[in-house]
Amino acid sequence: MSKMSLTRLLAVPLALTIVAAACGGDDSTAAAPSPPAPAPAPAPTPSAEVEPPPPPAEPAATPAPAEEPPPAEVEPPPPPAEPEPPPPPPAEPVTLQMWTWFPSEDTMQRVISDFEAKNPGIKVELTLFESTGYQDRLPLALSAGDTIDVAAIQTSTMVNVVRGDLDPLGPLFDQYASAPLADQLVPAALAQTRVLAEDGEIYIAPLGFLGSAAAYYNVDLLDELGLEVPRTRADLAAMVQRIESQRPDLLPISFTGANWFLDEIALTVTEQISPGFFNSVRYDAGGAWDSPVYEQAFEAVTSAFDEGIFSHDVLDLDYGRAVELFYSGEAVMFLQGTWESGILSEPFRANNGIDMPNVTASPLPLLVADGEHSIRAFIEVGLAVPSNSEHKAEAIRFIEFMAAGDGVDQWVIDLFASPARVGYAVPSSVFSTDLAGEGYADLSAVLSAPGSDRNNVSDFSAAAGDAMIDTIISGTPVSEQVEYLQSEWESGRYSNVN
Amino acid sequence: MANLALDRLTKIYSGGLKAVNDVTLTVDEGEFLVLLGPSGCGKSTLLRMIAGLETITEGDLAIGGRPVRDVHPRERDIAMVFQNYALYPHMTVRKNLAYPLKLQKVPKPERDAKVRQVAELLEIEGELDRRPGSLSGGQRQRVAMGRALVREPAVFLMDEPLSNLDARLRMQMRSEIAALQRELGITTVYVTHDQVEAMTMADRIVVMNEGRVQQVGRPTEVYEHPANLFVAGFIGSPPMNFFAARRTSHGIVVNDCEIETSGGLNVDSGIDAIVGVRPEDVQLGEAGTDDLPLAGRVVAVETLGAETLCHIETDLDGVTVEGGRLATGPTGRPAFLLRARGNRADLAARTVRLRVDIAALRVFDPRTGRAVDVASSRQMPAERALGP
Amino acid sequence: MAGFTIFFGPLIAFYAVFYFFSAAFLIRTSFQDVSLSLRNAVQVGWENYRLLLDDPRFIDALRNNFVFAGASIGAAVTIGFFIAVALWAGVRGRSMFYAAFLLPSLMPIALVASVFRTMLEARHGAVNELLRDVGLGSFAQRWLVNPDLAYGVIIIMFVYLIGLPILYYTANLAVINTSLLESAVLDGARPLRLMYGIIFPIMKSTHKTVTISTVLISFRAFDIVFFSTRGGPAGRTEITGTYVYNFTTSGTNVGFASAAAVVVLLISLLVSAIQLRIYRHEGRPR
Repeated sequence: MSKMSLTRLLAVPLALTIVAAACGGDDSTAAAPSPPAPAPAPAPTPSAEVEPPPPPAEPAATPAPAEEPPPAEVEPPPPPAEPEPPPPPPAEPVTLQMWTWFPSEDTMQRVISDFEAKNPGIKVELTLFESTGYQDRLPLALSAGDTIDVAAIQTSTMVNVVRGDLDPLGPLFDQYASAPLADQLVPAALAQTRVLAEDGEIYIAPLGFLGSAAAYYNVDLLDELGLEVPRTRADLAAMVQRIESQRPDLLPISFTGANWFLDEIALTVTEQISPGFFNSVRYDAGGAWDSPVYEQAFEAVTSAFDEGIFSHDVLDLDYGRAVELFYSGEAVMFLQGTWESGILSEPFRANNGIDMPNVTASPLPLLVADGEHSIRAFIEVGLAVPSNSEHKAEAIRFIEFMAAGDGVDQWVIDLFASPARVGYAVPSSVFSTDLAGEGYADLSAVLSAPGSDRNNVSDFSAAAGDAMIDTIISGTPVSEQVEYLQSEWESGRYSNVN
Repeated sequence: MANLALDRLTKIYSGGLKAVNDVTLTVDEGEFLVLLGPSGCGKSTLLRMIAGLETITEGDLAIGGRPVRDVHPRERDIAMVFQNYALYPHMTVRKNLAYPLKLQKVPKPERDAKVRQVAELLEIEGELDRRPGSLSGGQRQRVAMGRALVREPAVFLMDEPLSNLDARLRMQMRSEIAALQRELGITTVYVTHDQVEAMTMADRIVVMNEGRVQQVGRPTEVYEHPANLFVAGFIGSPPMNFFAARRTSHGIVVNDCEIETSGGLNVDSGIDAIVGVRPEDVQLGEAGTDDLPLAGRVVAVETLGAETLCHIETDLDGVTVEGGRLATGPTGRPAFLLRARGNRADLAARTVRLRVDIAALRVFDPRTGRAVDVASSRQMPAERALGP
Repeated sequence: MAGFTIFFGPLIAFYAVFYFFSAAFLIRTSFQDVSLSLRNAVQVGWENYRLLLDDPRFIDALRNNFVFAGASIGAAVTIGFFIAVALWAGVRGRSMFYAAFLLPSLMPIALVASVFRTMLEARHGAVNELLRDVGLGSFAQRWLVNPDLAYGVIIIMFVYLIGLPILYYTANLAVINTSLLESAVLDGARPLRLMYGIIFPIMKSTHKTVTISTVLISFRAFDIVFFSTRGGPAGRTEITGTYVYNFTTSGTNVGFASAAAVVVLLISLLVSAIQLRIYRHEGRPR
């Protein structure tokens, strides 16, 4: 046994004990079905074997595709009217109670410190939860009338579960904020926000967008092998071939072959072929899984395994291991959602002890001959004001600060989401190399104009991914699989119908 | 059938405990030998060493002339009956009986015939298809016997086989087993702590204590001529009366009776000699010339129906013997047991004259505990014949 | 009877509240179309059950449950029994062996399963690396990707967790009547014969305990599958637990997941009832 695997053997149980303890007692929530994929902050060496939950939000299924393109990454048109001096600070100091499950405590503290410094007289007391527990805790606390002034809401069914206890944000912003909500967040974000509530109201101010799937690269390895960032399937094939001949010890493309992520890749490919395809199926707008678009995408992914572009070795990699292989320099390329963009950020790497200075990113290379780079994206982390808050004015000040003000600068360096703030550009100082900045810009370009909402149906995703695995390992014809998936989709078993 | 030779067998447990100490014995072919002793005397260990269930630390063992010290138990051709019968609970009586034959690969028809034969012999034909759990204690005992017999072993070992039965059943089985053994003539080693079993069943008794053989002999021999204080005290119920005696140049003097002994007596123990007499050898009435005369007062009477036990205070110096050793010295005027026939409740609280046949007196060396031979005896002058 | 009521009454009431409430809750939602918010439930009759029993994946998951339970029981009463007897009969370094066999059963199953998973990883797993290091690289496999191998791995993992049966057997061996065994030895039984001819049959009540506990454990063996194969590849090692789990992740089709849970509950009750019945029949002639 090599030293490496021995180390891993020892490290994994340790990491797992922690996970097991965290998940212990309640199997059913062992892996969070809930939103965000907090960019897992992997340790430098053996990273936790945790499957960081597929980040998917699972919004209510109100058909209403977001149409407007999200954030313009261009330098601001008129920057949102930067605060005229805010109303005089309240005589007595106010303490806001904030509940959230994300982002990390460090990040939240940076945001809060900055806010408190700029808003004397307002204190923010943070209560941070585990993602899985939060799903149950928040609705209970709200209906029990606990004092919460700012509640972070998962961009999923949670909006409908708790909206009865929330105030619509529009009027509150009109009353207390420096500018109306519509002027502060990009229209696409607000449109997706409306999708989440059955009554079409806006209850949350989303921080930003997440998308999937994206590609990340170890630039040092690319340079060593004389490779460029691949743009097409042919590029990918050539890249893999060169890696295999020159550095057979490397895994060319690392990603988890778990069913849900294969589905993410296939659905990204559908958007490459025909942007809006996923929305057309998801929102019953004429799309179907047994249509040529999906069949072609399904085929494009499964055949990539047959052709050796994707290695069968990824089929038993879980999320954490795929990340670990990339971070440890054992893989050239890495596929995952945009929530993994933190690797491009120098401060993020420093905070998480990742020693990998030369990284870049791109949208998923085209896996089909004819198509455009694309992605599916959705808003993530919404901030809301509970109806029974007694400090609504201060709460709005904080939400405005965090979602559309200076607070963005504090959390954006994690790069877990692309800010929804109008006209915001990530400071270039975040990136250690030009290539990293360019890669992020490249990714942001598709993220700002996603093909479809990444409004996932997680139980169906598992079935679709399993069908792909089945074709990869047993060769079941694609046409049979897509017919089967369409009949499953219509069966009523999955959450698309609820 | 075979004889059995134990040569200086010793068992030392890992803790250093010497459970069996230098035992040399021969069991003749067809003999019924009983190992008798209090619990912990090493008799069961010795039996298990013969069976091979305990390893032999030192010494040799031969069955039918074949050294078996290092032979596996199953190759020793012995059968054993355990105290708790050790019947296989999941098998019927028939299967229990047939099991040893089956393991010896005896063909089925022969097996069936033997099982039937043994079942008839032990009168358990009716129980063949029952399981041990539904049998009575006596029936289980028979099945256990049967399972041992069916193999026709060279040596038959029994470890307190009757101790789980009630008194009546025990008496019945006692005679049955003895009769069966005589009939079949199987060399048998039988372990018990019950002297009645030993006395009634044994050809010879081996009395053991603290891992050592105390005496080997026919039951009457052991009873009448105990080799030492331990055997004297252990065998007999009620036990032998012991008292102290004064030493003279030729022997000892008890009351007015001088007894000449052939062996030397030790003088260091503070008592010159210990004399024992069995309660049934003490009789009411005037002493004759060969008798030791005694007088005393009856302090308690136990009527047992066929006989009466009288506790009598005499002027003899009683001593207490425990585990074959002098436990306490002269105790003044102890109660002295007399066993009389019939119901003698009338003796209560009376002063009586007693006589003891001098030939029935047993003399022991107080230090070694060994019996000392009595060569002859004579009465002392009459004027000293009575106590105070 | 009065004593019984006093001692067990509160306990029974406690259990009744929780079990019956949760069972009733499950049964009620299994006839509804309802999300985790439990608002706006729509009565759908037997629809959820129809959907469930129509799904070949659910039927496969059920079948896998039984196969894995069977494998566990088989391993427990053979390998587990054998190990317990061998250790009891005196093997050098006995406590070390006990530790080796019991430890996996004392650790969280999730941990054991994850370690298996990591060790069996095709590219960097310890098993394949070991095979390659000793020159047996051709035996390296995609253990968790090949459906047959993955199925075997899950079975091995169920078998691996026989610490509890070993514990039960060891406890029973400690109180076994040794003269029974000595008697059999004198009757001529060799060790193997002793084991299957005498010890095995007289430990009948322990076999029952082991069987029941193993069945119950294997019906709740969600962690074993979830943390190793996640029911994969392509659902081949799915058990009812992982099947139901997949449908609870979205939080919107709670009714369907409830129906699946109710069916699994009914089946385990049925299995337990059958077992108890068999044992009661067996126990009678004593």
